[in-house]
Amino acid sequence: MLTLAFYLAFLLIFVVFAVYGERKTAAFIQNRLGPMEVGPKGILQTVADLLKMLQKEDIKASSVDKLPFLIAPIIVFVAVFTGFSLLPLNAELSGSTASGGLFLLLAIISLDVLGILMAGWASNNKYSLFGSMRSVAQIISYEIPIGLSVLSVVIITGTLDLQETSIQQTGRGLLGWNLVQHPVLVIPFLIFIISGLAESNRTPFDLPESESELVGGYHTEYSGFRWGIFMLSEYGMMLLLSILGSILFLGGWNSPFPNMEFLSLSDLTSGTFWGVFWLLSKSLLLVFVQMWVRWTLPRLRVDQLMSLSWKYLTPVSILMLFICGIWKLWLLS
Amino acid sequence: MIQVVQYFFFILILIGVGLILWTKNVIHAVYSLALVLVSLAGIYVLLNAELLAIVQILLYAGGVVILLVFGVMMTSRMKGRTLATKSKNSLVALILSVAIFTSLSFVFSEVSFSERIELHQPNQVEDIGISFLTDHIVAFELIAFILLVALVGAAYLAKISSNE
Repeated sequence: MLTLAFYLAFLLIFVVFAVYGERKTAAFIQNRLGPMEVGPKGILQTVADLLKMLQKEDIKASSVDKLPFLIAPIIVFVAVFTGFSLLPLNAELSGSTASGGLFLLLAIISLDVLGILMAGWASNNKYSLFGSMRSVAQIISYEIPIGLSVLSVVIITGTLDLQETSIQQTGRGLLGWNLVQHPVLVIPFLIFIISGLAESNRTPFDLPESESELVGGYHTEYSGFRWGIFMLSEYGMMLLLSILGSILFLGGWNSPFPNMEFLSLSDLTSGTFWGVFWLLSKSLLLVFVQMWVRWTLPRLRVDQLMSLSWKYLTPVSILMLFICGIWKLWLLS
Repeated sequence: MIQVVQYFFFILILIGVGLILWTKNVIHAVYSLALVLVSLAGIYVLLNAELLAIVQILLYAGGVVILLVFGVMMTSRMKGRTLATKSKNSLVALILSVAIFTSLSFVFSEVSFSERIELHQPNQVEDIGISFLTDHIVAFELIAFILLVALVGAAYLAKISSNE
């Protein structure tokens, strides 16, 4: 329970500052200043935006399908947030102890498709419907490469428990991380990041909400707080996949410094607080990569999106699954 | 406490089933189906069948329901027709469903499920995997083969329709 409460509080704070960080990242990439007015260096800009958003009217157009329209944002958020219950936080706080934790996580976050479809359908609006259609096609297609890349890690670690995966990477600092310990995982890691961008509807895969074509995609008709929940879920998904990525590939809550003979850097930088610190800083680094990609690459076309998933990522991840199996056999022998 | 949660899920399932039966709107029926399937997964969790619950969510709620929603959306809103369900032949349906219910409950009360596998609590996945690849290897391989055939068939059908 403690991990979940921590993640809820962290998620809310994270979203406020991630939006600020995203705008600043965008600004620096585009060689401008970004928000500067509210607070020092504009740091309170999103807080002000949030206050404005909460006061907005909760508009329900007269021809929407009432009940689904109202509960769709909640379904999306619940699906994403349930995923957080399975993540460990440090060596002591291991999250939910489901034996098939990783499997359950992938199953539950795929449910947010249902909420997105519900939103698009209930809005009774062509843009929303097209947005949600694209979103579902995209999320379902990219679930296959993301699942296979996670499976490659599972083959090597031999466990579905995320805490167990973290413990296996303990002790040797950077050298113990799955990505370094098993270099075959580099390609699954790249596939994981690419499909993660698609799963959270981020650029270059933001077709479901592409402003220039679909106004806002599946959340065109939403305003005020309900729109805010959609944003919260999108950033939540980014954070969730980044934490998952850092647990699976980058050592989770383990310190990156190894123990050297008399200089036991690893022991110095491990502990209750340090565990949380390392896990979150690795995840925030991955979140930064996602923002960086967003402002660097243009949006793909629908057919390019599909062919990237089915013709390139899926075959490559199946091949990597096979190679990881061989690697595991070689490790065992 | 577990009993209370269990009854909560039972009530959710009843509500969902009732909505499927009485709603006129197809898309609402599909959402109610999703509610039923997820609540069933909840009951599986309470019965310590974690893996079954996960598979239930992944396949039914995440797969089948979304396929259904997609199908309904493609057919109705894209073409501008609204799909509404009607209830016809309710007498025949009543007789049929009572017959199926009695025969199924008869079967379940008579048959003994003798071939049980003990699942050890922390490693259900491991136990199931081992029994798949030892005791049930033929069934497992056959299912894999059928899935492969379905996949090839689907690819073939998609290819023909794109050539026309």
